[in-house]
Amino acid sequence: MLKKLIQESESLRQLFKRNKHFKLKDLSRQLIEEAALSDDRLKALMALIAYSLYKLSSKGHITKNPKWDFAKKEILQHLDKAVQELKSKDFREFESQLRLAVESISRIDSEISNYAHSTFEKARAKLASNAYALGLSLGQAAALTGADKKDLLNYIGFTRMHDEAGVGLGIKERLKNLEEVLSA
Amino acid sequence: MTQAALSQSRKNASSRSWKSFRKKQNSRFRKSITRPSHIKAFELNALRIQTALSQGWIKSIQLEPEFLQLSLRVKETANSCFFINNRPFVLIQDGEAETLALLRQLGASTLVIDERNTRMLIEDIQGLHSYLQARIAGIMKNEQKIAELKKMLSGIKVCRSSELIAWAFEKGILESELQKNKESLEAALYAVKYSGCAVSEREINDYLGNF
Repeated sequence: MLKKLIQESESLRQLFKRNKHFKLKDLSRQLIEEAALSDDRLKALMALIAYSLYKLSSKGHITKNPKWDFAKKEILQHLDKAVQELKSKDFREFESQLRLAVESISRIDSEISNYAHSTFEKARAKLASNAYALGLSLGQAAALTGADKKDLLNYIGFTRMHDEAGVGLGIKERLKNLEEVLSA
Repeated sequence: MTQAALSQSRKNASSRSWKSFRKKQNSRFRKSITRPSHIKAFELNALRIQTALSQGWIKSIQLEPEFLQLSLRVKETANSCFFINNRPFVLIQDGEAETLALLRQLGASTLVIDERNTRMLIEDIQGLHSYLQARIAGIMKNEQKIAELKKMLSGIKVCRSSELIAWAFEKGILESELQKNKESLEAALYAVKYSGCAVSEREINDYLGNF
């Protein structure tokens, strides 16, 4: 279990270092699925970092900005320290380094991104929707990534997720029940 | 342990869970109103809820001890229905379990909820299992817990925002906002779908076929 987590943390660092953004995206999907099945908030945090880094490093206007290189170096330092802490089984410090990486991501994002709503906040809703698609409840999925429930609902609303679930009672049948309650 | 000591220990445990529950209820108020009121993106909704509470059309109700116990049992049972790698697959949280217990406390029969899992737990738990099976390899079910949950939730009817919109539309309540025609109804139903209500396109089209 620890071995796998170390491998995943190293992958996160290596993929970001080598600008393999689509692989970062794949890694974030894999991590959020594992996090959802084991209710593992730490793995969810790694998924959020992987997804945010995929989003940032795939945008030309961000990677061409002179501030990016410094930010990348800083994020890599935190990810590198996180791997070292994990290898020495210091989970608290591992999480603390991940959170410092999130701070660096949020800082560079707010400085050079075109959007007011941060990349990290968008990642929370996006990855929570992946967890919801897997079968977690709305509350559970939101809690896993720290997404706001309303943000998550809005995100889910524009996917085809609810078209894939079984229909069950239709609107007409439910209306009959509602009519009975409201006319009682 | 003597009977008296056991009874006292149970009382203390119950008092602890009651205190922790009250704390959680206050934290839910903070989550719904206090915290979002300091975040610009969510401030308007927080103020709307606060206004509704002060006007009295949304009420805050405390669970009585008996129903607090029920909410804990519902949560425990629902979260023991499915397993993955010998670990329980968490389906609902405190909020959903307390909602179901409150329904019983109030003697109400209908729950309005847009969330998919709670609705499927009430109406079609086997369907929920099929949904999970299609997405998660190796998910197992516990038939005994499923039967217990079915018993706890029997008789509850569910409707969603989509039905509230359809009902209001049919009763002409939305006439000051929307023209009474099929296009307006379709637009209103898709608006709730895109806001996250668990209603499918097929359900909307089936219903619109009646007009």
